[in-house]
Amino acid sequence: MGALAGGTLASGAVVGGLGALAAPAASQQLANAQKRVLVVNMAGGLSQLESWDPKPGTPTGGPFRAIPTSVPGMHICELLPETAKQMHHLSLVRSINTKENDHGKGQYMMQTGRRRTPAGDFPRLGAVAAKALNNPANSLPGHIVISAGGSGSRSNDAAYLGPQFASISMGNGKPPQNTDRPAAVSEASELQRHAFRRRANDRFAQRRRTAMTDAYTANYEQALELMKQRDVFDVSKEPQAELDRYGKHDFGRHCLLARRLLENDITFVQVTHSNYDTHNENFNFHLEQLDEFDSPFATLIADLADRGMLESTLVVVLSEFGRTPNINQNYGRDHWGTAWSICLGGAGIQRGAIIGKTNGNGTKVEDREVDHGHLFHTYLQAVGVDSTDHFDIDGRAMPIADPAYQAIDELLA
Amino acid sequence: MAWCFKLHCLPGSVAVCLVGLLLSQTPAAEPLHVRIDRQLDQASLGAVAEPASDGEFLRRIYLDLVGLVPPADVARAFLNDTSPDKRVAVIDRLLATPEHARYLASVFDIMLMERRPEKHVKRAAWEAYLLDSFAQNKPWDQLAREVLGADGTDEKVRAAAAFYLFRDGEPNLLTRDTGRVFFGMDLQCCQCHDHPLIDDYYQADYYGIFAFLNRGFLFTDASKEKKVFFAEKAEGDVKFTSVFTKESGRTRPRLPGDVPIDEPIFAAGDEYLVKPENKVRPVPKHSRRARLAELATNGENMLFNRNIVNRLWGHMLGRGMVDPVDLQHPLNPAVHPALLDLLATEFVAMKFDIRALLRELALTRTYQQSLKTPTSLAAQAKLAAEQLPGLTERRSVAATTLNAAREQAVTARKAFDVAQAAALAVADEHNTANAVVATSQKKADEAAKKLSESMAALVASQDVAQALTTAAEKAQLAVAKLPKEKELAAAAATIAARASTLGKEVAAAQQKVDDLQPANLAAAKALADAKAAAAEVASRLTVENQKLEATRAPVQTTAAALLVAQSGLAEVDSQLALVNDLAALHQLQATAATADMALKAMNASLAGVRQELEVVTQGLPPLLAAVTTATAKQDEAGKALQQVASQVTAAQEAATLIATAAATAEVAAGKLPKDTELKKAAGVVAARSTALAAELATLQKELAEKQVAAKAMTAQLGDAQAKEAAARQRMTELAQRIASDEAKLPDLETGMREARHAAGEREAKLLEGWGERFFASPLVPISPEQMAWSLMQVTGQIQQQRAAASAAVDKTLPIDPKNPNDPAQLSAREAAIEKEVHTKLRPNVKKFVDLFGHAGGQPQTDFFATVDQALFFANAATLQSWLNPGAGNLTDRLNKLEDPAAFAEELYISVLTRRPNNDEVADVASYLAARPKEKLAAAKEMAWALMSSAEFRFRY
Repeated sequence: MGALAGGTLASGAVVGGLGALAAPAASQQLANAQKRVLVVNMAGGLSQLESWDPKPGTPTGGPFRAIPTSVPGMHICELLPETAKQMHHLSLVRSINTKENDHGKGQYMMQTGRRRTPAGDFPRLGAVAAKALNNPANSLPGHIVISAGGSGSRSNDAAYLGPQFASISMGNGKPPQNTDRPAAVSEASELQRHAFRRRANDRFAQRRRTAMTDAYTANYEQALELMKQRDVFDVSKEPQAELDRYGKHDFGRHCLLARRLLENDITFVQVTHSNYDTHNENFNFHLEQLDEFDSPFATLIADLADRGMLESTLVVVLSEFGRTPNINQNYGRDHWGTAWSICLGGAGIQRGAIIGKTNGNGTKVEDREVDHGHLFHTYLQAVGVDSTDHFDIDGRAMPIADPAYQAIDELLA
Repeated sequence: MAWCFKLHCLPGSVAVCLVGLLLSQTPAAEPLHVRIDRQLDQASLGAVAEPASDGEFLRRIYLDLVGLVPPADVARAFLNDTSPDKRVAVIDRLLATPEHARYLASVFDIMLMERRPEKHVKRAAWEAYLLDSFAQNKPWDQLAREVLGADGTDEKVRAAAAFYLFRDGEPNLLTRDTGRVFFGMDLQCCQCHDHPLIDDYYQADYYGIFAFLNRGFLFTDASKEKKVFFAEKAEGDVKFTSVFTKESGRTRPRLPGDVPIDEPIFAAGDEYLVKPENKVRPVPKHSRRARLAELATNGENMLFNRNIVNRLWGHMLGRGMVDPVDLQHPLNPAVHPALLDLLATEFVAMKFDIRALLRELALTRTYQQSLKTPTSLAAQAKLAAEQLPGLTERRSVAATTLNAAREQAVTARKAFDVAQAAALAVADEHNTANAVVATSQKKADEAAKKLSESMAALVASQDVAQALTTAAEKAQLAVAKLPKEKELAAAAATIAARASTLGKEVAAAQQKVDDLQPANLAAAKALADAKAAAAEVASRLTVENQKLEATRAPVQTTAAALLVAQSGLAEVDSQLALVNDLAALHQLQATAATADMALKAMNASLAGVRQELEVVTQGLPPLLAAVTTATAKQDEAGKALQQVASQVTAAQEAATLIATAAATAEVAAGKLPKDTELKKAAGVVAARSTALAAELATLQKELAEKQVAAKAMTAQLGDAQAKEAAARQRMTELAQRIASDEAKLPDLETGMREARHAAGEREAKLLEGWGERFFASPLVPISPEQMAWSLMQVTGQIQQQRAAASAAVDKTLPIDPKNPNDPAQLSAREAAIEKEVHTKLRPNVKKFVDLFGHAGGQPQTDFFATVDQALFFANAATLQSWLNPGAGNLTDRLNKLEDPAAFAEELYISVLTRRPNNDEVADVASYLAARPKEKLAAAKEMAWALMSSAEFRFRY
């Protein structure tokens, strides 16, 4: 807004209701200050039996034991010893039945809180969070998906909320695209050309100024800010000790990058850990994968808690579905949307709670059955968003979450 | 409830009334653009923006008709052109270019497809189809009919099926997008229930369109290229249940705003031209899709007509009269309902000629006005206040009319619904009866088959039996002739025996035939009965359908009247809203002025008080001095008085004594007359007494004077003291007043600020609304395509490619030297050049679409700004490379200019299609002056800055 603040703003001549626009945005910003969401996506379908809902000693339980956690009475699988020490910050939902065993559809449901319909696409949680918790003062993008191959480009996951809330994919240390000044433009020229641009904009603003012209011109200032903050995306700028704590593999780096991004007030960050689609050798794979997951994840939770950020940061560890209680002939477990679990905590989520339960050998939900729709409402309400409200999209009222569902109230603090 | 908006079936009086309303008593001979301007003039109370400058106009018309800003040389020539018709000339010139057809094809592609990826038919084929359509200025009804009617089988227009095929033939998606794109109604919410927020969007509306399309399915043929078609079945009725109310409904195909269509009745098995079979594309006798294409586009569906003119208006004027363009409903009426209806009616009368309508729109004063809103609305506010009573009265009349129209429409609609329910019930019976016919047919066929098989067996056995009988008879005759031949006799006996057995077999076969006969007869009768029953039901269905048909016309008539009434009320409401806004602004401005005056008065009075305090405070020291002086003087006078008084006392004592002495001496002298000495002495004493008396008198007089003086001094002191006290009192008072006034000041200031802010907000809103009502040109973002092509125009990419393409065309289509001005030849060359330039440069557009466009399948109109856009502009190689100098491009031209003013003019005309003002020239000059040895770099930077400016980003 620097360029405009210097412009002429005789109150009567401002077209576009800027005062009206600015005021609610500012109050919203205050109300939602610091609220953030971190999603850890266990891609492929994490086995609930080898993680959050172990059934040791049953025909379906597999070889691993259950271990106590920092929450009295709460046991999780022995593959998560470090996470077990952090469970007093977290809660479990053990009664999910999404009735969906397809990877793509399951991911879609868990990420959007709805079933895919042929007639229209729905925005991802990250886009919804980025819009509902929008912090216009922050020049950094509000919705970031970290993945090994991330190119710094914008994805296509915001549906009707619009591309401004779509995710930017981030890889290993690569900043968003086009954050380098062109070689031919010196630092001095950079200042001059932007100054000339601002003067041209100021002159045009005297002829007509609207919310759109403001948004467009402010965008260039945000771009300059982002260029200054490129290092935010470069995890290698963290001290060596931090890099060591999180580990050298991608997931460790990504967790540390997630912390770095959240510390810089980026609204939504997703880290993916892949791949849990263990139709063969389920137990060996989970042993290996969860060993990689456990320590960086536990470190991240402890860090967020230590830094006081967990109070304002929702953390969700989700999958597209769980895995079958039945162990197949290849020692694998198959797709299972019928009775599975997620782990979540922080922000407005109760600490150390267990919602719902499955039967003795985990073949069905016995109590408090929920699905993607309930969870989606719960995530949003945990960060202070009234998920029963709607967004006004170009004159259309679009419900923020599926109106046929409600949040899991007893999980909300 | 949605209603029919057909006009053709109106009784004369209603039609006349309708036409009268639409044309507002204007002679029909007047061009449309004149009528448009007049309607808007009336609505705006006369306050419209000034005409756009030549530069504004040229940039606008280029963006709207060919999708990019004009080249610098064209802009300069236009600005220099003094002919009065130059605007009309440029409109007509652009409408005739191949670039215009290309651009409209792209606009309609985005409208119809919303950047969906290709599926089942090539995007290139679809684009070629659209380009060809716009090159020949295909009327909209025809284009829409081809698109809605296409199943992909007609090779000539196969690509038109892309609307269905890109959407995978998914009936829900097609229903939503058909509603949005062709009727301006987004019915998505109505898939599962009546629209929660919009009263007139019903679940039945959604399923009315759905029923036209749900029989469609994708069919892949056996050809090598595995062509996909949007085939259609003859089955699939539509029932729906609200997820909220659990109420169910059913519907035949129905256009938005219309009643369900009537459909032909087919006997069982007679529904298809080509029956569905494995690997065979079925062709039903009655295609609902074809009916959709026909009924939507026949000019009678007002929603269809309004939708397209609203979209074309939005294309030219920056914004639909209904906005968003796919949310037409009574809660979101057009800002000028009568004008929209006028355009819809006229567009049908113009035979859906898109180019002609765009031309009329471009010719309006409304199109050619500037973005500057009127600076003062005071005059309008006054006019508004005068209009208010009349409008309020008109509104009440319009509301009454609407209520009556609604009541009639509801009644007609109910009658239709009753008749439809009856017809649907009989249709169900008809379906059942047809099913019975089919079953009976099957049974009868089976019985007949059995019978004919056994009859064939009978005939066969009869033939053999006959032969054997003959043989036996002949053998018997032979045996009679040759009685001794035993072998022969034995053989004859065998034959006779066999003949006899066969005779029994024949009898058995005959018996079987006889046994089957009744079943066959029964089955045949059952079939005949079923057919008779079906025919009976069919005739009843025909009757019910006729009854239903009889209720159709009243629904349509009353619905049309309702539409007129709705438009009428919306028109008045729109006027009222404006007038109320103006009146409210007037009020707010008056309040602000009052608050302003109150504050000013308070400030003025405070200043006065402060000044007085100052004066009084400054006047205090002299007053104090006066008191001091008066005190001293009083003191002095007192002392003097005291002195004189004591002198008087002494003198009085002396005088009394001497007077006694004198009197005594005189008495003594009288007694001693001769004592001259005594007499002399007495005389001396007497004289002295007299003198002393005189002295005393003098002293007494002086005393009196001193007394007066002292009194005066006392009075003076009192006066000075009173003055001082008064001044101090005044100072206290003034200080108190200042304190109390200053305490009031913040409230007054806040009040004034708030009142001014409220007025300012309202005015800003009103001025923005001014643009939304087309009383000033609205400001709208340019599309990603417009941006890409405009940047290529500005930087010279297009010019460079044109030169190359032109050289190439010189070889492929050389100008015939005998006939160098042949228009056909020239236009063929133009088309070839345009195609070549487009092919070469089109790949550059994608990046802009990725960054500035919405996702595929989403509405493409909402503005958004993301940081990656600005980063791309600022840092990506694309723009930087286009700004490298070369062969007369922008930076090359700039680099050769020595005079800063000429430099500035070239820069501004090239990038922003206008001359710079003095400020801007000075700005450019100082930029250049600061970089004396880096002119080229400075040129690139300034060109970049203007291309990145808000003025470039928006069309205004």
